[in-house]
Amino acid sequence: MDFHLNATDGGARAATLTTAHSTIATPVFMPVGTVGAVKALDAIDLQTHLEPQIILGNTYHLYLRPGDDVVAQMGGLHGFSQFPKSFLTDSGGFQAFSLSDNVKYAEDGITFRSHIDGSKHHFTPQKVLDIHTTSARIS
Amino acid sequence: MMILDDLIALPAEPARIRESIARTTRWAEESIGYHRANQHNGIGVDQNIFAIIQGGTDRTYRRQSAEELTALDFDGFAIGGLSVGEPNQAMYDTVEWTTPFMPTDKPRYLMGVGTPEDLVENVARGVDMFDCVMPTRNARNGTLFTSFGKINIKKSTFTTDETPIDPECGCYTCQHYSRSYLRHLYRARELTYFRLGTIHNLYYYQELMKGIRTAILAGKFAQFRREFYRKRNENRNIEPTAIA
Repeated sequence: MDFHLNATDGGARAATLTTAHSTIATPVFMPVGTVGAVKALDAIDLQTHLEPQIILGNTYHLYLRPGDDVVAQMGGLHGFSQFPKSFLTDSGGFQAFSLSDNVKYAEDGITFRSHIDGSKHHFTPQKVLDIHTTSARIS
Repeated sequence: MMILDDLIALPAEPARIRESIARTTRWAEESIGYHRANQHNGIGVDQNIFAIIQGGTDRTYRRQSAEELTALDFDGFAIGGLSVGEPNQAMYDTVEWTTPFMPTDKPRYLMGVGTPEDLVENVARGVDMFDCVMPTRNARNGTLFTSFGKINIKKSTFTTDETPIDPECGCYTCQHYSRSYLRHLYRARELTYFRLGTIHNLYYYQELMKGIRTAILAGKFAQFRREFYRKRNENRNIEPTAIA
């Protein structure tokens, strides 16, 4: 990733962020596409009407459903969703915190119950990165 | 990709904030070590890794968390743990206390923020990236953003209103459909409304960011900020019923 500061004005900054999938002009607002879709839109709507260079995905949700291994098998997050620009994938720390009524913090990570089926899961820092890389990759 | 952090509810006891910072830093150290080793083995080579600064709404704790995390080799840094119900001014102050301790040569991401006003105020405080469910969720609830404030499409004043949501907007929805039609779709619970409302609100957010960027590049951000508020206040006096 390349970060180039184009201008500053007081505290405000304008920069250009270049990733493997897009060139992002900042300041940028990233639409939220939690499960691999911005709610009510598909990737073609996004590309035709909004042209965002980056949207959010959430690995907590993708891991629980359909499973990061399924996403990888179906072309990775880009191939699966058909959104060709950048994804910023959130870790699920916030989702475990806000969606699970039963989250336990331990020294090595967090244990929580799925908001979908109540199943128990344990996230460590390494496990979270594994889910990120699996979701992004094409297997 | 964002690493695992220890997020806390606000307000929080100092002991819990200290625990959150210590744990977040330790997990960040483990994360960066693991990711760089993975990359060395060809895994996640193109992926960028961001750490998340914690510390509640306390100036000293935010600085401590920022200093500990920015000492590590991350691609970018986020400010987390805000927009969880604290007053707006507490969020603005916390961002203002944190950004001076973030690198100038890496992106700064404020997680989960916010309203159009929040975006303008936090850009002023040095933030580069934002995300929030607000434009999409509000669209689905009937609240639509315009250059003169928010409108609620449910209102009976729009029953026969032929104008688009925002006469100044260039989005697909505003180019094709009236407030009257959108109000009807919303009230009829037609699924098409969700798509049209979402396109409009996201377009509004994108245009706002483009306007901000253009102003920064021209050295006119202060002027942009004044004009942004002037337009909202002016309209409030002329057409109070249109403001949700």
